[in-house]
Amino acid sequence: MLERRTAETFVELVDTLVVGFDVIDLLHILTERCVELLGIDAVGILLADQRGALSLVAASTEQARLLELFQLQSEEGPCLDAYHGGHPVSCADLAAQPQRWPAFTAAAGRGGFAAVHALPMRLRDQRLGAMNLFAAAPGGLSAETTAIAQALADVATIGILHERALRQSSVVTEQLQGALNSRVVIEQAKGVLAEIHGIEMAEAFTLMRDFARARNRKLTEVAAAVIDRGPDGVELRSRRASADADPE
Amino acid sequence: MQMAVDRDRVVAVRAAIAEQARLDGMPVSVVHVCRAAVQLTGAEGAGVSTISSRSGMFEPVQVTGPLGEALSELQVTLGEGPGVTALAQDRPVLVPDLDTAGTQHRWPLFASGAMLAGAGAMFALPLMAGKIAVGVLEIYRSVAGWLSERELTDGLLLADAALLQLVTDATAEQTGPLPPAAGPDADAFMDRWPQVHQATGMVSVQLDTDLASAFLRLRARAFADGRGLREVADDVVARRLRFTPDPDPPDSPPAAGPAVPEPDL
Repeated sequence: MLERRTAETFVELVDTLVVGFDVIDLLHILTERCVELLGIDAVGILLADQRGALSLVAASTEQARLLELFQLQSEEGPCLDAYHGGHPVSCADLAAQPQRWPAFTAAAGRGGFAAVHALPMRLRDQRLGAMNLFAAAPGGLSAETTAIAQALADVATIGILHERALRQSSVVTEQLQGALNSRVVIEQAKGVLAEIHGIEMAEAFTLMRDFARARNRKLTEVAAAVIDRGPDGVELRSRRASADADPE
Repeated sequence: MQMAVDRDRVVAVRAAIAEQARLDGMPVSVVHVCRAAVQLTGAEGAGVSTISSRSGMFEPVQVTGPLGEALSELQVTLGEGPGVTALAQDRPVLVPDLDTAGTQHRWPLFASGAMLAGAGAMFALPLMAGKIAVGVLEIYRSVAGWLSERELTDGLLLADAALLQLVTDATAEQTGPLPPAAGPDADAFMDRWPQVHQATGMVSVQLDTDLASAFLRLRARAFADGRGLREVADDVVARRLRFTPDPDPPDSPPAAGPAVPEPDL
């Protein structure tokens, strides 16, 4: 069963790459599938901004405490270490090593997470960022689970860099800065919808994401439409009904 | 290749802009950002261009150096070039060598004109924070070659500075001058903290205004209260603070802020 779902996930990621892909959408799919497949509780991806920091670009949930945890890692944490070192960084029991990343470990405890695993996203000497896996219970990942997680991260990495970028590092910068800016557009649009409908940020995000998937739109495009009052945006601004419930 | 949190470069870029303004004996403006760009990236010229709100055409705001003038004029005349593309696609367009088949295919008229003008490389960095997109910072070099990691980082930080300056200038035309940003939150546009962007979206609805104006109101409020932008944003997101479109609300900026030595970033 796991094998079949894993295979399906690879196919899904590759499909995303083939059909006019959007980095943000690709990474969101990656985080959600990792939670399903790997038996962990939360996943987030941080990409390096050329200005010199790691930024959260996708997370399996928009839970505020979890987001705080990712943000902290621009200063310290396993994701930062995995990114810089280029190797997986794992802590099966954060409580047993409180001094390793003091601020991060304290925030993880408050968020209900006991173990964390970070996998680098890189290809040869190109370092993009890292993927974080969080578990509520202490424990290590099996070698097989780690291998699957790294392979999923690698597919996404290769997708972002794709073959043009291997020859031209300018394209990597162009794509990554574009993706990082897309994340800002999504945050701005979340604020717009949260205010209009009196809902929380996580709900505003879900509203846009479900709408984008139901209509086969890119999340970034839907977010931009919310701000610019494009047709999709007007619809999302004027009604709160979840796109899940859409009859079409 | 080190890309840790690079506060050193933030400080260096801010200092370079301040120094240019000091040499000029003027408050910081976009021209000082351009001159700092020339100095920090080993370029022959730098410019900031925007899309005119009146004509919808590509339009230089500020250009330094003869090479900059030539390339900027080419883009205006031809309606194509790295700066035009960067503005259209909301992402950096980095051209380390103008004399390649790829460049000539992408911008056929611009590429040959740029070569004739003596340009070797051009780097266009959009001035944007999400959907707040106001223009592009262009860096012109006579010799082909990459920007180093450090120069690229500086370029992006300079683009942030130019963005904030343009947004502030545009708002000042309507509402009078706003206080300059100060303290750790002065570098708001590179702020990775999403609540600042979320709050910007919320305030834009509360005030029925665009994102840039909403952002400036947030920033003015933070300044008036002597608090960090992020704290104020947290209050907005938690719904402890609302903005009202009233022309004289308590959250309007003070008429005159204290002197602030640091330039906008």
